[in-house]
Amino acid sequence: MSTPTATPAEPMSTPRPAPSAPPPGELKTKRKHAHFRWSVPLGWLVFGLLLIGIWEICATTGVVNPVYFGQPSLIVQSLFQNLFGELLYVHTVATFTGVILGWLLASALGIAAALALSASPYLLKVIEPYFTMANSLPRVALAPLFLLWFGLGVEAKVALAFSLAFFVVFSNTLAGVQSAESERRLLARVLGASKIQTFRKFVLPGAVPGIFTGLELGFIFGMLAAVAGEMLAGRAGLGVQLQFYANSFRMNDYFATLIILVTGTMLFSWLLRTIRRRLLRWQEAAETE
Amino acid sequence: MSSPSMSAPERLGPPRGARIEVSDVYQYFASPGKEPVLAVDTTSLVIEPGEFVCFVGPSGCGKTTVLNQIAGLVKPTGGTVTLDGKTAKEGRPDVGYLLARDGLLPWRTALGNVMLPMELRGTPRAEAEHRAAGMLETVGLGKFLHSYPSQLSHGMRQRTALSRTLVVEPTTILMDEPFSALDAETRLRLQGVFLKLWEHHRSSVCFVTHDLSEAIVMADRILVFGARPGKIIADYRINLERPRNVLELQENDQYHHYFQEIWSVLRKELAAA
Ligand SMILES: Nc1ncnc2c1ncn2[C@@H]1O[C@H](COP(=O)(O)OP(=O)(O)O)[C@@H](O)[C@H]1O
Ligand SMILES: [Mg+2]
Repeated sequence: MSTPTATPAEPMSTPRPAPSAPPPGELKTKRKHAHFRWSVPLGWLVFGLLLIGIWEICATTGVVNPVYFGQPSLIVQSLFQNLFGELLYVHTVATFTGVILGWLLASALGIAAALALSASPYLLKVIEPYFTMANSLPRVALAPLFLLWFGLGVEAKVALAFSLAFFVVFSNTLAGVQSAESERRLLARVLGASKIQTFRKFVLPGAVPGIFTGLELGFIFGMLAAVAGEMLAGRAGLGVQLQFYANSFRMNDYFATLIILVTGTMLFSWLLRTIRRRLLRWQEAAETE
Repeated sequence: MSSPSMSAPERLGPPRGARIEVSDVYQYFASPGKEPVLAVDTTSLVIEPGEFVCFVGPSGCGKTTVLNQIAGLVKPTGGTVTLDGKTAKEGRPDVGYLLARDGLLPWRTALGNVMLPMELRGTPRAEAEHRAAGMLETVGLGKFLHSYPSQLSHGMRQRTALSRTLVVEPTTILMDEPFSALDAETRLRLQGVFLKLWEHHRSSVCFVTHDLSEAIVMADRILVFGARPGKIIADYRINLERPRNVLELQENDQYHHYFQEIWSVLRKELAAA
């Protein structure tokens, strides 16, 4: 190859101080949106307070009727009154116990079923239409049936949460397992991996993100089903209370119950996401690229 | 890059590879609702122990198919393929296989990916880790042992895949256009890295490429495949001195002579394909 002689851009006799580059360490640690670190949470706070403020003013001036819409200051008051009372200890515990049990059962069985069926394309094909049918059914329509079968206790909540969460976990796990590229399976063959090794080292780790998506969505759907069931009938539960408060025009208690529901669900989702982040550091690595 | 003063040629290692024998092999591929396709017409070839053989030819002429027959991934419709007298079968521990796409597992670090083949064979963890780290060091990735594939450049990923293939010191190495997805500069670098390792280990290599200059730089022998149905139509011996320097060869007269000679044959096949 010919190497053309480069002509120096500047005569050597006039040395200039080289522009000093920043030390590389600083560049790396500087986040892309570092300047948002404080302004975003501040924005959340301002936006929230603004909405609550408008609501409060509308309620006190009678622009909206607080009998139907509640009033923020009274909602907060209700929340504190209930915080260590029956609402929290009896009803919150009842709802979350039911949902978590149903979700745990759905997760265990959903993951197991997906992994087992992924090994047999034939069985999967046979079962597929039935699964689609069951999954197309609006599960809340089963609530009266489950209440009849399982009574007004925790069992009906477990069954309802399970009926929705199971399919969500199942289908996300299956998608995760099937996402293993054919190239990855070829590599397993070439390296002489046994069937079990192929599954454990080449397929399963790739399915973990899908499984976690299933677990997170499964919990939210399980909560939906259980609360809907409680609103129909039940001895205890946040859904039972929602129905009761609405019927007796106790809107402030109603909204306080909603806040407990949302906070609990968000806490649980946050817990799952934290575990996910721990387990899937390789995905984080891809995202920060 | 080596300076001229350093080029007191290191000695080649003794050949350690397997003898690969492909006899009267042909391959039909059946696809539902269509006539079976003759991908490879009756073909024979022998790769001597420690020989570096390149397959070149237009795409679709059966190079990958023959490679996969040797790997045991495709069972020939007729004929036999043996490695040191034993019928080819997939997953042999003494056969290494590398594709254009790295196939790295994204949830494993570079080190974890290179440890994988040893892990599958039950090599003690400490030993596997030691060997994998050493191998990555050799290909210049000593600083990236704990990086995930998504954090590595294209060339670094392929170097990791190369390490994964070579770390178990296979006596047969099968490569299907391993450097074709890389940019020109990275490709030259990896050719150099691989050539150096091979000159030390001297395993038998079967290397598919569509890049004739790559074939000449690397190979002892070049087999030219003709188009449809696939068949070997020419067999060239490349008598360039070893050890070779990939960069210096680009200016070598003999190299250009080989290129013109083989290109005149290859060009007709490319035009016919
Ligand atoms: N698994 C397969 N099924 C059907 N046809 C195939 C299969 N593999 C290869 N072929 C066909 O065989 C021919 C040779 O393919 P291949 O060996 O991949 O060629 P090359 O590697 O030289 O490009 C092509 O026509 C291709 O379409
Ligand atoms: Mg090919």
